[in-house]
Amino acid sequence: MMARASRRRVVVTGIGMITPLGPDTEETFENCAHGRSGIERLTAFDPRGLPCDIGGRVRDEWLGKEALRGARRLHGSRSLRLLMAAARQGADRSELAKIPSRDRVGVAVGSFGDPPAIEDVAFLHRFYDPAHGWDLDSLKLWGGYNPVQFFRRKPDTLATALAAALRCEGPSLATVSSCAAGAQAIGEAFRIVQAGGADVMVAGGSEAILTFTCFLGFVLLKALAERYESPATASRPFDRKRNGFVLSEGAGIVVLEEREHARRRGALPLGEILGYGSTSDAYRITDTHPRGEAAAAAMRAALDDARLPPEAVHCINAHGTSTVKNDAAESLAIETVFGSLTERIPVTSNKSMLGHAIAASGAIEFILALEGMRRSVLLPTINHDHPDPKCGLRIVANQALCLPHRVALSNSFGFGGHNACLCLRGGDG
Amino acid sequence: MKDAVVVTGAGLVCALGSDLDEAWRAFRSGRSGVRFVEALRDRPLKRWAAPAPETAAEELEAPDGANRLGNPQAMWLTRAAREAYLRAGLDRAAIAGEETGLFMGMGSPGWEAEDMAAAVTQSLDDRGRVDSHRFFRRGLREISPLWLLGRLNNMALCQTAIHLGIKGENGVFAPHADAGVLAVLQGIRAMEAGRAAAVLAGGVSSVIHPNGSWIFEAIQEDPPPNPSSIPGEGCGVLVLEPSSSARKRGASFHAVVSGCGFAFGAHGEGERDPRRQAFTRAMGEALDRAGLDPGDIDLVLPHAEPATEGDVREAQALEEVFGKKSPLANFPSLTKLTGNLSAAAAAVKAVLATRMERRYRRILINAGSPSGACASLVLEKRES
Repeated sequence: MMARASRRRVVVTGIGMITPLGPDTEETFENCAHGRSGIERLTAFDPRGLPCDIGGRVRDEWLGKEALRGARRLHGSRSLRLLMAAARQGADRSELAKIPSRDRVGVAVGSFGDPPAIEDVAFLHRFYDPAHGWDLDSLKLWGGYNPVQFFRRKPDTLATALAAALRCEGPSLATVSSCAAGAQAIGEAFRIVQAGGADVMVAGGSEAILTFTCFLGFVLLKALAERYESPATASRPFDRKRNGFVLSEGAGIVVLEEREHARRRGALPLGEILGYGSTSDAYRITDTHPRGEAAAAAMRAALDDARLPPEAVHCINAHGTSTVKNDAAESLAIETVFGSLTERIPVTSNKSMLGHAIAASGAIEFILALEGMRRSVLLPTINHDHPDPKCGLRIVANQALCLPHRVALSNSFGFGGHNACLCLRGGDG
Repeated sequence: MKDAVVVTGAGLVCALGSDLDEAWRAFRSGRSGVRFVEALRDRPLKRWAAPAPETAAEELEAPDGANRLGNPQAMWLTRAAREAYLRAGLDRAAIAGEETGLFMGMGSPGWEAEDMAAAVTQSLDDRGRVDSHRFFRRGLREISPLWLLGRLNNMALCQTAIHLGIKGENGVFAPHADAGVLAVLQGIRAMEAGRAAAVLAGGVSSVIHPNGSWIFEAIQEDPPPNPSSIPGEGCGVLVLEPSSSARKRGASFHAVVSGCGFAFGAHGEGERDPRRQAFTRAMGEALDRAGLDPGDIDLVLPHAEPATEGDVREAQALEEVFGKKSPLANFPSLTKLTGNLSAAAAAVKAVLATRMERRYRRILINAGSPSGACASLVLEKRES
């Protein structure tokens, strides 16, 4: 292989999030530290008849303050409003607007894109006949298909809107690796700053898929938890009684900056990305590799990129979806990488409280891992009442732990076999 | 001295042909893949389009479980990636799947309303509205359990990874032509940092389907509409390696990727269209990275066609960078032959560029998006 090029260091100078547990990082972290759940009965649509009727929804009143202007109001979708709410926090914290060279500031956003509403499908189907196809003349007579719906579905709409809103004129990219998209957006942004393609990258993920059409997609896959005593106890990562994940929504944004660039302008680093690892299962589109081999390779790659041995890791923020196979495979992967260290390294899954926000999860969990290091608090994995012997990890069970720690891994694994792992360090050291 | 990144293999699927040889012959003869399509994949279409040739799943000798979705993007990408892989001799090379990267720009797989039409029809109440009880009781049975996976942008890349056993670093970006250039650049960075020994990089177009962006465009039968609004299907894949590694394993190469550039021009409130500046900056950055001056470029393959606003901005940018005599050759416009290839546009141009005459030694390829992202790629013809 090629010899390693010299690398620039990449620090985090801004963070922002909006989740079912809070309109910002502080409130979300506090609620997570107290082991609260953001999962409730669904009200966004009528789920009667569905085998799962719960989800993690962001309160509408938290979005009310986020005004969209001009074209962004026209194309404004819920995922865009979530993204902008998180991005404004991150941008304000890093004082992004004060950076003069805007062509050296870019964006990277992971998102699925808003799916069509069931009302769209119900409207459109009237103009479709399997034998004759689309009756576009009649569709036009009825006003046509709203092109705004098309733009809302485009995966680059969020990145474009964010770049325009924050005046970022450097690289602009949209990652679409499903559940790993937010983590990959941060990872690719890290690479761009590291390689000198930009000095600052605003990166993260946003997802607003608690809709009829998206929900039924996951129901069809039989991926959701269907057996639960209450909404708050449904997401049970690494618990023996887990039976699927709980769908959620939210957004997380970080501002990544070249370390010297941050130092020169007096921006205070909140932490640093030390390494990023990305692999592919190349196994099956519907299943994770049962031995988690590629997931283990992603963690090793992140450590190798960070030039750290496994014993340097103080905690792991797991992907931990609460599905039977994925949690078992991730446990095996961790054991493969860490061996006898496994019983010593605390592992936690934020999805036990926040649910699975697909593309946004990787970004939200990265930020919570970072905050945990800054506050010396390991967030709990709630609903861990029946440890699964097949998941032989040191789970931070049910209650937060006060423990200083400096280096963490954050895992995100996506449908189809994408594996992304970020190695991060807290503080401004 | 920096190890150059060379192209050791290339593969292509588009309306011009099922592989690079066929597509190249069609391109040089000026044969167009654009036609008025009555039906596509068993569905009525009735519009001007440039669909890719059909690929049967059996042709690809897929491992178990790789083709369950049957999505066209996966077929194109697997076909083109296999061609590139074989041309590079990677099937015989000692480069493990774990050391091979896969980076793609990906167009939209499409939300096909027809998939849900039957379910919706069975779920209407007396007022013609969807009744969720009826939907979950009856309608749901009409929808494939894998429907959601088929709508994800990343599935084609995952399926190709399964086919070829590629397990290394990966990235999938969407959905316009700039995404394909980004895929190439991120693949190069993976190799420069020692995280991959070889990379397959390129782009895959969106799938033509009736309820894509085209649903609200006028359909004309005669004459055909602006080429930029004619959807095209296809995929272009390059195999990239460090030149030292390629030489060591005896692989031949014909081109070097010497520079990439990116910029974004936002449509601000009341501001003039800034894409001219974005194209100018992207080209400047690509030339700078390649260590070239504008006068060193022998050929520019532009992103857009004349007469659209983005084209005007790109034309202005070309004039700003190259002066009045920008090196646009008298080739048939690629978009007129292949349709608008979205995320595959730049990759397909790069693949075809590897075959161009020697007098076009240094080629600059532009890629843009309607949203304002602009990218440029510099390819230098060099023999191993």
